[in-house]
Amino acid sequence: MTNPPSTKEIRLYVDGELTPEESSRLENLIENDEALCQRVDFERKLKRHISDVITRQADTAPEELANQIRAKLDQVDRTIVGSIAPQPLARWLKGPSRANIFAVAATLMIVAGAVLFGIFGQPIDDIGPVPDTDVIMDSAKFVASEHNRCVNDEASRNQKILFTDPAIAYQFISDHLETMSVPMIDLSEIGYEFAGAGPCGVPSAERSAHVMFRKQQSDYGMPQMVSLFMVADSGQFRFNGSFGDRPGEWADCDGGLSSDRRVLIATDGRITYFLCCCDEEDMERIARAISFQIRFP
Amino acid sequence: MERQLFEQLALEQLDAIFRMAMQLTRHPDEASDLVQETFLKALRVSERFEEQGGGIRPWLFKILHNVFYSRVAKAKRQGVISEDLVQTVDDQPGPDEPSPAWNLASFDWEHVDERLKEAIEGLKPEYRSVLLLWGVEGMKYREIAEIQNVPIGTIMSRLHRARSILIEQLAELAEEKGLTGS
Repeated sequence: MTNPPSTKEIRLYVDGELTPEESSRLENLIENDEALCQRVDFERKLKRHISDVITRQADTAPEELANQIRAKLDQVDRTIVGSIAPQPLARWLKGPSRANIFAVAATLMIVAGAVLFGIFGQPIDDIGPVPDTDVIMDSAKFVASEHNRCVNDEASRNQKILFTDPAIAYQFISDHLETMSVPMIDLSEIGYEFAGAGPCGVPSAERSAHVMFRKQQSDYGMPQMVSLFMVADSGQFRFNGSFGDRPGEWADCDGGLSSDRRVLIATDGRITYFLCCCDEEDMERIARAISFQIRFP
Repeated sequence: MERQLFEQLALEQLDAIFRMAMQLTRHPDEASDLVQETFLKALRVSERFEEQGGGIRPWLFKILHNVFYSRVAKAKRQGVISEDLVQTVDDQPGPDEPSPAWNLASFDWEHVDERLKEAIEGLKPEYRSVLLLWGVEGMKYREIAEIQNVPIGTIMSRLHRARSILIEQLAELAEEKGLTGS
């Protein structure tokens, strides 16, 4: 603990997130420091007022909402019961003598489909690329989840981040991605040290790697990490202007359907980079530092 | 979990879930809609619910969070997202800003709430929701991280940053009231 305690430490204390020993040390300081006592008191009052304000904004749900929900839940029940109950049509469909009819019908449909496609269908080359956003979103969701997993679980991290020597790690990445040498990213100027790197399984990419950096002085006593995912770019993302398709331009992509995590994406044409960061305040600076070192064309 | 038991336990949490939906959407109708979808989704997967302490409420929060961000993602893909949902707060407090430059002991809290309300409404949804889980629900950082599906360090930095932004707003109020300087 710093002396005098930092605002972050005071807030951890007010939130009950310090260890008993740390709390005790801070309480000793508070006893002898009027200004510190006022700061702690201020943070407590701030917390109480925030709570009051939020509670007053919407203390209770609208009265009719409970009934609407009950009605919807009942509707689901009826749907389920309806689908389970044997119906005449269902019994007919399950009848043993219908199999041949289905087989004939299916064959006719396939033939008809093939004929219609032959007449009206487009040559395959004329069909535009599938929307790229789904591929990017799926990858973003995956990397956000991988970052989360590796930060929260040290065992998973150690299992994945096989190379902790930067020179060996970057040699591995260059070989693994089958590309020219990947520059070693150094984030020490913004307070992050290299933690390790290893292979990764980003969807839609045959080869990808995960590089992690650790904040040297975490303010919170918890790991504050950065994940940089490098994905061999074989055109699978089909950048079309929605995301940072200009070399070196970082863009926000959705962190996935189950997370509000921010994920940045950029490409240099050979490798596509996904960036996740625990401390989102640092994200822009990290992205800039990486851009500078990669020297995007 | 049996259907009737699910309904009983889930509806007991309705006010809390609605409060969170309001923090995320800021519109009563959207919040009601979000809560209804949350309860339906919860019912469909209620067989998988396992009590892990804290009852059904954290689990419903998590589903609500997922439903909300699924909607945001869908809206982004369709290009119809509201500016409210993607706004960013540009003022970046320093890594560890000093304590407010006004006399803390003489700060008049009577006049704070209206300004705080405006300031909270100006925050991004993930900041508002983390403030609710922390301030109103009294959850620990680890529990909030579990609900929001992010590392605990992210919750810490979000909470710290959200408070710092709010204090910036209070600093303006203090200046107006002539409380700057100590």
